[in-house]
Amino acid sequence: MKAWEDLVGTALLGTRRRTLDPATQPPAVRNLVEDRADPAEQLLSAAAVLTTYRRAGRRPLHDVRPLPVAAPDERPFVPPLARERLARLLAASHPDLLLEWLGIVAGTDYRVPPETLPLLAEAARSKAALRGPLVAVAGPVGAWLGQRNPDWGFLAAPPEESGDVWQYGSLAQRRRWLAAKLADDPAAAREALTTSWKTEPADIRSDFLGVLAGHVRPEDETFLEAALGDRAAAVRERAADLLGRLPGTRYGETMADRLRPLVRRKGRVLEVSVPQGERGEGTVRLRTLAAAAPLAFWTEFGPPAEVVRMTVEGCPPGVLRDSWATAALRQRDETWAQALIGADPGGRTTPPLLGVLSPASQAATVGHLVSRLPVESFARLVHELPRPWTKELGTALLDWIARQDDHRLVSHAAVVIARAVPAGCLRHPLATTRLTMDAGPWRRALTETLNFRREMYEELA
Amino acid sequence: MGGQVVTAVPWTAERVAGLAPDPASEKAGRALATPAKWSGAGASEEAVWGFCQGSGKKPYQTCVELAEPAFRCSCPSRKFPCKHALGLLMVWAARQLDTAEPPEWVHTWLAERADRAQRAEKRAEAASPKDEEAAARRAGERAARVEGGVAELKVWLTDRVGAGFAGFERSGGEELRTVAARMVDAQASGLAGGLRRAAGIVGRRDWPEALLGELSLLYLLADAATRLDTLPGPLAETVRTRLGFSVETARVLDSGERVSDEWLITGAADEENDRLLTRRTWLRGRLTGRDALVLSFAPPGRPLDASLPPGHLLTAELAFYPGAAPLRALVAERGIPLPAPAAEGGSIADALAAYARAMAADPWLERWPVLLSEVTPAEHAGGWCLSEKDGTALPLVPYAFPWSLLAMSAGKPLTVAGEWSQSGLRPLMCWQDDRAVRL
Repeated sequence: MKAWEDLVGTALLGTRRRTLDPATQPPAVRNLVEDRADPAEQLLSAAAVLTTYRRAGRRPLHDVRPLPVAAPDERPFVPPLARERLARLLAASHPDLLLEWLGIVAGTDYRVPPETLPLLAEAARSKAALRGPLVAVAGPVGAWLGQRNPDWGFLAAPPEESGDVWQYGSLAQRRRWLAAKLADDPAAAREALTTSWKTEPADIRSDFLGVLAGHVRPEDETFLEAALGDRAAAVRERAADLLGRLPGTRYGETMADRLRPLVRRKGRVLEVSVPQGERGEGTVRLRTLAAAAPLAFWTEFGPPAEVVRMTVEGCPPGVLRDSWATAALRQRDETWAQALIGADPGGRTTPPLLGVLSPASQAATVGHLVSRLPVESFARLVHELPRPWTKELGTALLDWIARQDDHRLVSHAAVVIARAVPAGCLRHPLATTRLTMDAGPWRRALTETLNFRREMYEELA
Repeated sequence: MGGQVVTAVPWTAERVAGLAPDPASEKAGRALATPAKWSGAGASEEAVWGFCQGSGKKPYQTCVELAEPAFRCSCPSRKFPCKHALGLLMVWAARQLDTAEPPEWVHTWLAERADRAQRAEKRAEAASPKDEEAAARRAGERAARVEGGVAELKVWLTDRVGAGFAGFERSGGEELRTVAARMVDAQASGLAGGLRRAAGIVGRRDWPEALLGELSLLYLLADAATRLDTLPGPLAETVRTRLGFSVETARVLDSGERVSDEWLITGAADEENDRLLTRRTWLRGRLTGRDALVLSFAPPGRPLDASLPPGHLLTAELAFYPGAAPLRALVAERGIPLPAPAAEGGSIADALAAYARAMAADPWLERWPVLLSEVTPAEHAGGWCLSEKDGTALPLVPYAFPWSLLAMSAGKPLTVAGEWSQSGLRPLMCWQDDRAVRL
């Protein structure tokens, strides 16, 4: 607009240096400014009119191209109380409770109201564990947003069914693909794994063995034995670990054969000779052998409960004890796990060994540990118990903590218990009874968290 | 609403959250929003109440009178409303409070409040002629000071334009702020505000053009101020208001234009300026199509007026402030706000035409309410906009967070309410599938 540009130009130079030429202005403006004497006033008056004209006459944009429409989502919104709960979870930062909440919703046929998705996506951006359930809960609207906002690309994850992911995907995508395939089509998964095995870098080989750990079966023996000769130590260790989980392998027998000449029983004493030379030295080699040999090897020396209590000579006793624990974990041997816990309840292998026990005996053993261990040790143990907890274990721990007095370590354990007990425990009296007003803060916090979680499940039932 | 029988419809959780004086209070309130935290709690048509266990031995006694709303709590918090009042209201909003007869202590408080209100009314009626004389004298002094400020500003403006803007980007901001401070001294807050806005422009891209726009409108205002008595009455009122003169509430209620309608509360925007919180609440009359703006002010930490929850429909009589394009109003007589799950807006062309009409009457207008139907968020030239089906669109303000709006739309059209200004459209509220959502 020429008239306006002329005004701006004059204003920059100043009316003392350049006078406004009224002829450049529209007639209406010209008439208006002519009765002003001062050129500066003329300029300001004309500018006021044109500014208003330009602002009031602003035209809309045109030819704007529409965005694609998201696929329809017929699922209903979560009920009003759950919506309010979500607002609370988003306002307070409780990523673990939010994760649990999203997990519950993902298991239902509900979706969240779309206006909550930006905040949820931001939460999942900083905490990757939220992404899986959020993708399910957010549905097509989430995927649509993920395509618009690069920060939320994880919401728009491409379909991963195709084999391309295995060849070209990121490590995380390949891990997911392998895990899913091992469950759905084990033969195809193994073929993919062995085909590309030699070309994978060492850290990825070790990583994939970790994925395989959850699915290992007898046919994997050959593959794993080959991996025992891997260039990378991490891969060799993983392979040994996985082989140890398989019953009756050649590898296990070999290890037992090598162990046999090194161990003798003499009355209440186990005499051990530390192997010399060969591969690796001394006790390291002994650990490998004892951890890899089938636990049945030891039956000739006595029942597990007796063997673990024998005096050990010839090597530090911890070497054998640790190796037995490793073997019991690999072979998921409940009798040995029980025996090892019984012999040394306060030991550092107790928490993982508890994970080997069946739910009922796990709860019973924990109940037993309560009376055998000082409160402080037991409270520490709570942090290390393998998860997820069974209902029986959760109930045993709630029963325990309900009886405790105020103590720093107990209050720390309470935080773990409040979060880790499974949904089935949330009708425990601790989660349903009102507290007396003088209850300690940790006890109130425990009851609050349990109540909060119980309501979370009830609202989405 | 004396004597009117109302059914107590619990508020939406969002409306309760809107009462919080700050985000921390909202968070703390939510933490108390579970029935387990409360004892002896209940709700009647007038009030909600309950006891909440805090860190002390004695539980806090909390009560909220719903009409205003007014809050009372025995906790020592200086936040207002405190987290207990918020938590209690959230429990009520979740429909987890039983209807009950108010206990004695609630009764007493409600009665005290009613009594106080009555006495205040009597005091107001009994204003003496002496007060009026003093007020007239003060008004005269102020008018003289503003007149002085206006004259000074006109001189400065013509001088500035005489010398030219060139080189102004170096020291201009400071110079403008100095003049703004002089206008504050002259009690012409409107002129001071305009100068501060201009100070923010200097040095930005295309600043000479924008600066000329701002300064020319300030000149227009100052010039109009020198010949107030020759202007048509409503325009003179607009000029006085823009200069910074306030209109007394009583005068608006007495002689302001009254419009009764079912008002859709189309959005609220809060802003902090000079340690003062301002809430702009926009209303659109369903039958008259009139737009209205209700302002509420509070120092930080104190509550803003919460009686106009966005996304609700309110049957009310508004009293408009005088002016050439009357927009600001007071709620004179009101009913109970009810959730409005749907809204009917107009086209972009209609909205721009209404804006142009308003600008013609009041060129100093900063923002204008728009309510658009069937618009879809879309991308344009690296920014976001709201587009009609044929590709006609209004740009969003660059600072808008577009993602809630995008999530609500997911590519489908919706109804959006917002503020239209020079920098674009600021969305405040949207409606989709029978739901109203604040943005």
